[in-house]
Amino acid sequence: MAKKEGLNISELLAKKEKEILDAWTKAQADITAFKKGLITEKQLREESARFLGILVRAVAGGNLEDITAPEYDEVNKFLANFSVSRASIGFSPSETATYIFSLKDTVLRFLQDEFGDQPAELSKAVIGFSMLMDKLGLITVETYVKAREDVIREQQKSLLEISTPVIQVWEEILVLPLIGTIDSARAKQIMENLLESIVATKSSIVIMDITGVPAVDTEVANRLLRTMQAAKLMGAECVLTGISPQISQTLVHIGVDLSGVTTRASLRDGLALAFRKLKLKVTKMEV
Amino acid sequence: MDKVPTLKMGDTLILTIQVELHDKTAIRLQEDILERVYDTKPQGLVIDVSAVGVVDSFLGRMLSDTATMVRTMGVETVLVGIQPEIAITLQEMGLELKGGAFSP
Repeated sequence: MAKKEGLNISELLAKKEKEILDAWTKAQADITAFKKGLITEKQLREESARFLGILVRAVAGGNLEDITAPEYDEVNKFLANFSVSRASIGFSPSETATYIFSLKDTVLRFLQDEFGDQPAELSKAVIGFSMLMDKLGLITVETYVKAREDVIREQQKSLLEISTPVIQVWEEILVLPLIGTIDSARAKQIMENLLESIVATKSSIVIMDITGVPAVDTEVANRLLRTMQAAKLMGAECVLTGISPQISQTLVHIGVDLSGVTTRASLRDGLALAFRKLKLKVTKMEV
Repeated sequence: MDKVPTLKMGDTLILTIQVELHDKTAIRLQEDILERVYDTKPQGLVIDVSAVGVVDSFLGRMLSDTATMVRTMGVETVLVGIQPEIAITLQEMGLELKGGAFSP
């Protein structure tokens, strides 16, 4: 039964491919964003023709249900590429999905013309085809979201790289300005960067500045402490600076033991301390 | 409560508590002290409690905490003017001032 109805639809699609394409392109002209100049009518028509061709070939076997079947590979691939390219030129996911749904509307109208006199056949065909198109529509949304997520992941990665700079401010003095929340991934990155820099610059003092860290909880504090312990093992002494009144209150209230750590209120104080430890003196030039 | 009267002598910030402290005012005082230390950047902080007659467990803990907080900001605290009876109370409560030193 399903086989027959599937064949009906695929026959119809193959037979009326040209008319469907015309109607579909026309339907899209009204709804899609190519009014905004994101895409030309010619491009749209070429794209639609390609997709329709691929779809006709996919449904030729009569399979309207399982879109994971091998004959749908090409459809899936096309939709994935299509969704990604649409996303990159600024289409919203609903606009991209509407592309598929507008084909559904168009074809349903053709189905009605074809099976208008056989209600049972018509409803079967409509349900089968609707379900297929809904699934395909969902694929576009899914790939769209996935493409977005890839972008976000990429940005996160680059953010992680630029967010943990280690600066050598003087011979043997490193400054590690921390900005933003510190999660476990960042803490790991911070530790690796710091330890590598200590080796590379042969530094003996590290100033960790947490002025830009909005909130310090036990977890963040523990991560910082671990980093400092690691630095100590490399022979570098750590100074924790940028402790505002609020942060100092939090640290004491949550009971973080900072007795083994040198702490200072501001980066300036930390730098002054580092100079003193290295027996350096900053004086005004005599002119 | 008014702001705490503070006096900066050289690198030292001197602070006198002149009123009886309740729980609420004590917390305000603690915030005040920290702000003042942050702004004036002293080397050391002296808190004079000679005018304080009663120290309960909350106040004792608050003083101890304040000293630790100030310590995290890189400043040493000295608590001065502790009355004998207060010393006894603090001792009986088992409080120790981890972040600072005492002076009579």
